[in-house]
Amino acid sequence: MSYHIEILEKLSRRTIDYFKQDLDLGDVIDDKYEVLEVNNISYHDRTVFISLNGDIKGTVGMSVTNQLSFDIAKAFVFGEMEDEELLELASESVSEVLNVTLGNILNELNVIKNGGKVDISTPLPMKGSMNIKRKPNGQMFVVNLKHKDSVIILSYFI
Amino acid sequence: MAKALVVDDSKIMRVNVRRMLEKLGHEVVGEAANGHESISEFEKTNPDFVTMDITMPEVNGVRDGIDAVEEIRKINSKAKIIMVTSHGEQDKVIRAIKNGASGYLLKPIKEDELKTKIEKLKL
Repeated sequence: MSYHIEILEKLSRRTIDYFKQDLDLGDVIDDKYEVLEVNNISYHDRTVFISLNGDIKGTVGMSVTNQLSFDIAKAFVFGEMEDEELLELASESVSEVLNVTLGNILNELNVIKNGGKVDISTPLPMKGSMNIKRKPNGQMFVVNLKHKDSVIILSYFI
Repeated sequence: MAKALVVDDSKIMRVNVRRMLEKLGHEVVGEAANGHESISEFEKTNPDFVTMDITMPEVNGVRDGIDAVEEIRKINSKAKIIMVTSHGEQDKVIRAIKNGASGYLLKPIKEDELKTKIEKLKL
């Protein structure tokens, strides 16, 4: 199994667990997922990217709707904050989710277990929907995790 | 009840940790968004313990939470500092412990684990 697929599979599993166990938003998440190779990805309004360098190279992304980013922020602060302030922290909350879930799985990757090293960048939050196309000679993978009326998009491209 | 300083570059994480500490009955006397700020905030608030994120942006020569631990321990050699990290960065955790950190927590922080770490500080 290539590490591109391994990353997304392990990240998907960890994301599902994180939503269920840590954010308590999991009763509406679908446990089933599939890693798909695609040529372009249409992201939601709140997207975060983290770059990997070293023995693993590429960009990992997580994208959610505005509503879900708001719900995540609310879960982080245990619901005790004004809505206006929560909206300001929505992107940061998605960054934190990806940073934590990706950080948690790194040591489980075969490349790392075999002595490889990887540098993980600080999260880059993006606001607004967008479409990214696969680079020539590049590869692009995506997992769509069903959640309420939308999907959580996890992606990996190089 | 102990006085705490919360250091993390992510505001949402600072609020998250603050809420947990308050639920555990502690008082958060200060917050800092980087290692450099944490040093002045430590001097100003004189907390009983600090929760310190490891990976934060460099500001004024303080590269991360590990550098901040070293600087804070120069101010107070008995300062109690719990490192917080989302990665299993063993080398960084070891450096932080060598610099004087009291222990570490892996993100996502769980309330019971935070409670146990604070109890181990024997404040």
